Amino acid sequence: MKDHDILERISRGDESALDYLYQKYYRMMTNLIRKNNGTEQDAKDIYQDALIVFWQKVVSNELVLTSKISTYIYSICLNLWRKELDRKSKLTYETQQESGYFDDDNKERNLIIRDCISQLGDTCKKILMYYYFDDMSMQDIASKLNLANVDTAKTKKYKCKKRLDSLVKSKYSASDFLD
Amino acid sequence: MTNFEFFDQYLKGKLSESKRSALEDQASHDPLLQSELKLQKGIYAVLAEERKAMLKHRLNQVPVGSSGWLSSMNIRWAAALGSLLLATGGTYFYMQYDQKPAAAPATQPIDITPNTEAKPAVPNQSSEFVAIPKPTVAKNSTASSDNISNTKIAQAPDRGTKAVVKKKEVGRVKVPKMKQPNLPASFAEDSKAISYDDFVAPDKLIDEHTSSEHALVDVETNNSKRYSFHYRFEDSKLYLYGGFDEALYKVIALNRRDRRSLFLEYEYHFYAIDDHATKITPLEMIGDSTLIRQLKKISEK
Repeated sequence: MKDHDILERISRGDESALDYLYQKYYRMMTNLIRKNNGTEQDAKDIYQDALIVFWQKVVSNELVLTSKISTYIYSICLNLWRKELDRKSKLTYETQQESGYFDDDNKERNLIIRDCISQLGDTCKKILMYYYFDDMSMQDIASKLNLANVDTAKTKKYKCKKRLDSLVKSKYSASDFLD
Repeated sequence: MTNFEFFDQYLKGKLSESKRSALEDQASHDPLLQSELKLQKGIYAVLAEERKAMLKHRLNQVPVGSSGWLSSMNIRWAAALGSLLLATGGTYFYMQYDQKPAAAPATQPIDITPNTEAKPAVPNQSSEFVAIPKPTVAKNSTASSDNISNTKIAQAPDRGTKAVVKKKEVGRVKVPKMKQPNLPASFAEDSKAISYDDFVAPDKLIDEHTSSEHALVDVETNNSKRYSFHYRFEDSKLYLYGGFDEALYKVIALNRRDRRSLFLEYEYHFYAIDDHATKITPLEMIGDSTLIRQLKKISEK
């Protein structure tokens, strides 16, 4: 499969193209991390994160690729790993203590939101994720989820989001979101 | 643009700089708007996390070859280098062994018809050894010509300097059967190049690895020009020969009562894999429509 075929498939939201990339460059990318003091698990995590960044950029049509896909992913891996090493080196006992309160607060909020998302139907969840995270067009969302047309997808997305908002608000009062 | 769309654009970072700062400025004076923004940011962040987790879960199902530093290319290079050293050393000792008795009768008259049987064999053997990529333990007498040459190398370390013998001698000299010793754990990676004919894995161990229908089989591809679409299965590892970089492949296990059957899915076709096929074997496409349906079902899960 050539690079332009992969890009074309990913821009349509075809996740099997992502599987293909993952398999093809697994050894190359994970070796990069392992050779720079990373463990096998670090390597896998960074490579997966890099692929997700790549996926998001392509699927939302943000990316204009001027190099080979492998070169681009390689540079994402390198940047992510540098950031991770930097984060690890800065992570001291004191900073962990300081951020503890805010982390707990956010965690609790996120747990509630996660719980509300789990109450949505499968199609609802996917529409919202494709729309907000992948930034896919309504046309692509409609064809990926076998919806009748773009308008159906738009209506469905609107209803799903409204339902999610009201679910979260029913469990949390507005004041809970104030600092 | 409705409020709904306006928030969406804000969350996706698609609002213009002026609109974004105006909204944030307004929110700093309006607690309700501020809480709404915070709620929407929270929802957006969790949706993103969920989506990432979904994609990661998917990637974790994709079979990837082992990537330990001991495996793959390192092992191949080590094996090739080992073979080369063995071959060179073996040839050297053979020549020493062959030449010593010849040096003794120096006072004898020169024979114009020298020993033409043994000498020409030396360069041939040497070139054969150099070309061999991996040493493997002798399998049986019906092995292919590749395996015959491999056999010679494998015997060399066990039999010392006299181990390097001509093809004819292999037939005459009865090679004692030897059991492979249990290798320590640290050499587990090295053992991948050795086939154990008499080794049968305990059923319990196999069952532990076949609980899911997507088989957890270690796969290594070899973009060989010699083999277009072949495989071999050795030490629970599947070796694929040919241009398998063109599309995604998947190994599926079908668990039956007392045994499992392995299948390879490649470009929407299924191929049977015989897990006893230690020799390089062509992949054969499955034609049974019932079986194909069953495999498709598993594959789509």
